[in-house]
Amino acid sequence: MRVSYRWLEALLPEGALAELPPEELARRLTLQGMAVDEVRPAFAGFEGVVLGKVVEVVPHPGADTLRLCTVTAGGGERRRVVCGAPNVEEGAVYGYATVGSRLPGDRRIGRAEIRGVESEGMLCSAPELGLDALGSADGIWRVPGTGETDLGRDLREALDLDDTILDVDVTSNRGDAFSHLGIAREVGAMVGVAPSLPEIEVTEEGEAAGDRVTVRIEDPDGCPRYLARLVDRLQVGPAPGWMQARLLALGVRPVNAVVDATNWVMLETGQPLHPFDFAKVRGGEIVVRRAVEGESFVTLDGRTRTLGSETTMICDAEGPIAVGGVMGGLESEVADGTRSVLLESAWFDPARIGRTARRLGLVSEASARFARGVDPEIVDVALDRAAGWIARLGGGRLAPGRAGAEAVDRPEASTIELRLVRLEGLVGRPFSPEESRRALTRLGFEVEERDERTLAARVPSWRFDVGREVDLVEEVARVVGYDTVPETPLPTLPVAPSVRAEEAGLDRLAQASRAAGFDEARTPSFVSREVLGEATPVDRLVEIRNPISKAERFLRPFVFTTLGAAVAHNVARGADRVKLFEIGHAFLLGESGEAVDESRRLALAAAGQREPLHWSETDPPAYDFFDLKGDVEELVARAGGWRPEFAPADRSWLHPGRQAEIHGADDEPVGFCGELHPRIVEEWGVGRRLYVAELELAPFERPPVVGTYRDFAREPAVERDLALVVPDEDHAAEVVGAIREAGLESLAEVTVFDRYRGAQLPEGRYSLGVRLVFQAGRTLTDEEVDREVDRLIERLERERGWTLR
Amino acid sequence: MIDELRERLEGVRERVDRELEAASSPEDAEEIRVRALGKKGVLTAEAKAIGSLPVEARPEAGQLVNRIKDAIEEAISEREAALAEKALAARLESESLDVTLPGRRHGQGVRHPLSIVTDELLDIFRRMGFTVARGPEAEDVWHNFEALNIPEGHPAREEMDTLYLEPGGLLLRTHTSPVQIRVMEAREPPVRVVVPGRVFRSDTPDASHSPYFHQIEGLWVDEGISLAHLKWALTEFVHQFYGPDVGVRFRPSYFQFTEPSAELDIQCVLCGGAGCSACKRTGWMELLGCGVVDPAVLEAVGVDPERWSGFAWGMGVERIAMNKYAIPDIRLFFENDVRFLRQFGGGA
Ligand SMILES: [Zn+2]
Repeated sequence: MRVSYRWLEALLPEGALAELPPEELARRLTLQGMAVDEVRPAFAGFEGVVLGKVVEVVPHPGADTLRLCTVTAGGGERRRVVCGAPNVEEGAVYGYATVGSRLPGDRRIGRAEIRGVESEGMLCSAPELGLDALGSADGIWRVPGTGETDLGRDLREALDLDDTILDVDVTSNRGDAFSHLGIAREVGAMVGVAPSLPEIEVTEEGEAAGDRVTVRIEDPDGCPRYLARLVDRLQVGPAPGWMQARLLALGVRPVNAVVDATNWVMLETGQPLHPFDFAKVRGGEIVVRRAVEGESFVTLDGRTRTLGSETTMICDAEGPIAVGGVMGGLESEVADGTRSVLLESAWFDPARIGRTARRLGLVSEASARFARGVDPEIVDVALDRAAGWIARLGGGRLAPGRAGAEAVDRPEASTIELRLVRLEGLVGRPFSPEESRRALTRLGFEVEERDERTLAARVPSWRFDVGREVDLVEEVARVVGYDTVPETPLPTLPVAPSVRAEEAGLDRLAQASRAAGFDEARTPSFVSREVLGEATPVDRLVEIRNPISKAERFLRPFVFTTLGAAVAHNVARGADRVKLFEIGHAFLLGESGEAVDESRRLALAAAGQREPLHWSETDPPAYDFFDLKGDVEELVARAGGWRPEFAPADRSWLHPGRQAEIHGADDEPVGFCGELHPRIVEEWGVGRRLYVAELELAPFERPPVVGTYRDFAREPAVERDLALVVPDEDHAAEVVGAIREAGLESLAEVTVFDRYRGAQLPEGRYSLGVRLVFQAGRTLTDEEVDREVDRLIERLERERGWTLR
Repeated sequence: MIDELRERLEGVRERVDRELEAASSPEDAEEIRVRALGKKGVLTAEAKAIGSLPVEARPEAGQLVNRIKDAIEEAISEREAALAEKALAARLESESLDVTLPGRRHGQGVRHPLSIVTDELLDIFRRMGFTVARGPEAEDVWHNFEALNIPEGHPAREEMDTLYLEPGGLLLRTHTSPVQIRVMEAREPPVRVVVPGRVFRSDTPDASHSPYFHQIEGLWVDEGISLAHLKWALTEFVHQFYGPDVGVRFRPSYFQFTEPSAELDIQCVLCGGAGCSACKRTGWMELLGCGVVDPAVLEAVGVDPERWSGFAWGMGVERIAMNKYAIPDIRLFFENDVRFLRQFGGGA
């Protein structure tokens, strides 16, 4: 909220801010919980501009578009000023920049000869004075609310422009502080004084408002208190310049004296008010009711709004005239021709206003305040003040008394006990009853001592955010200042592991991934429905109900989706080798569609060259499936200490012939790896083969498998290479497995060293070169090894139909 | 006869010398040796022929042959060594590399800057005895709001700009605070956890906003914990992370789940407190929100607030990383351009 330093001065006793110039006040408010984001001058700087009246206007002898004005700034002196504005009028008062004055932007005004006539200064438009919104640049600005007695006054002084604005970041619980009165109370608590509202003198005459208007509340939950006053015989014109200028500095656009007066009082007291053109209030009746779901209404911004049943409508005898607490209607808006005003001051339920404002997407000054809560005891005070201003500024007649209704009795002020032992326990320092009492009293609480160590505090009506003992603890702490709280070291710690097994596992996994050449990524959580093309598991995507982007309104079903896109992004930008990994969350709709199946996983994605580009390689090999598989094997070995098994798989988003299911130590599936389906690669525009893998984290969230010592043979090993001709459907792993399980004595190791498919082989068969390594705790003879191998060959042929090539 | 022999032997010697002169490799020298001194060599033949000389001439002839043989052997060996030396020099010459050419690297991966910062932060809190806890990103309303004392319709709930999920009742957590609730639901106090994780807000992405970002949350609940303990722990943290001379201030603020609540400001890292545009001329930068755990939160998880109390805090990792590395745009973190990722020394 923007706060005027001059206004605070006016609300506080004389001299209260003597020790608190704006910057210091800002610092102190910040330390008391009212963070001041910025301190700045309210208006642009200028000097030497006075109020001057134009007493005569004659044509310029040398130019049709210019006029010669005779200006008086009080006293007997007359000055001649050349003026090009079409709207200059005899008898009007303007900002007169005298010879030697300085306007915003360091524009210096001297004597000037304009088309042969000397001009002694100039008459100013509002923008020339840095008051842009108060008048147009096409003409000079007639300063409203000024007269004969003001002539010669310095404009800054007359409009009270030497002010400072403090931008206060009021926290959402402090609805009471969305006003100058509220901030002045905070300042008062700081220096030990209480603010008060200046008197407004008004006289009442005519028929009492209560006899001319009836108010009926049919929605007591939404609006328990509705008061109104009447002002007649108005001439609606502009508000005085000083009022307009301050509204402008506080970010409220001046409209006319009636609207400006209500805004003035709102900024002063925090109570939003709404003026209706009383001539448009049919039947002299106000009915406060709930909106009917789907009911429509044209608000004063000219838009048709569809309302819900959470909304309170203000109606006359025939229909709605305002959305209660949010915005008035176009029909009953106060305009220049308005002669009679019905001024509303009411209390609306914060939650209902909040819902209405959200539904309508309409956050007004009024709705923002009602939604945070307004002091229920200020409703009548504010009404009287605003009615007084309207009558005074519009030359109107204020009808005696208030019309209105109170649907329910206002709640009694609550009294809360504060145990000093609790205060001391939560804050961590000692408090005397006097110190605690003083802090609360300064904030407007009425405090009694229940006993030596207990206070009872009666909560002021504007502190509706305070309802519990702990709220009082905070109030005391912030008034005495958090800087008075000591820093107490934490108590001695019981011994506990600071790194749990799961976390250690993740660290190992990340480290192993980096060791395998993968850079860590953090990719978006959102994907589109087409993220994997036709292969997207659309039935299992989790949808965001209120997405930021219509397209990307689903949660990623796998981490590799967004990770792969990041690889694609890098390739598109010219990277020749990209390997990324991410440990992140992925989301699938549970089978029932009710629950979300969320899991944390490791994803790998790679494309481009196998190794970083080196000048010695003319034709560097590309990363391929077996690179990926090798990377997976290595990082599983490093991070988990177990050995993954791979089996053919059939995920639709992967290349049908280049993908594998990954199995864990207990043979349970723990993930998959493969080449991304070429169709998706094309849709993503990668332009290179892209490899992805995704692994569950559970197998790594336990201490790694650590082997125990096994003796290894020191005698030389005997090797035998076999080339077996095998049907295509028998995978390499099966061949190796079959050899391992054949029960050969002393067989230590089986590895694949070659795979061949070609013309010399029968259709549908391939040749697999396997190396058998025999080892025993003694020297093996060639003869015994050959016997073993012969037995193996005979068995493989007999049982599997595999032959030697 | 002896003279004849001497003449012949001198001839052999001269020939060998000439041949050695012409030899260009150690192998050539070896051939010369074989021809001269080998089994079928000239000198071997001469030595054999001595047997056919008269007995009285034999000793002299023998000496003569041996002398020449030794001389030849020495000449060959010398020449051979010189040639070997030369051959090695030639090989080394031919094998020399331009060592200024780039080495062959295998490209170890790097840590993401957010991970570097997260790990640093977690390490500090781990040393203070906090244990890492985690929770789901798709949360329910109870854990994200209700249990944290943010009831339906409360303005604080609206200010969170929550992303809600289908099926209903679920949302993307707006802060890491629901993990506080999950931890306290799972075990009795004392509780001492630090919670890193991704959180979500319905913010349109720009240079300083992202709909997903990361927080680190901390919670300590024990007997007799107060605002004074919070001040110590977080001041200690700031001094460890930013340095022991960095100024710290706590100022009152408002969060639904803590009371008293505070914002922790640190002296602006850019201007050192003198005031600059980054700190809006205040000399201070907002670092994190914190406070004493609200009794309503403890009650929500069945912990007696009269017996137990605690403090909690939460901070944005991106903002800390952006300050630390002078990163101008939050979106860079999620774009994952490798030229960005590799700037922060996140090796190994
Ligand atoms: Zn700074």
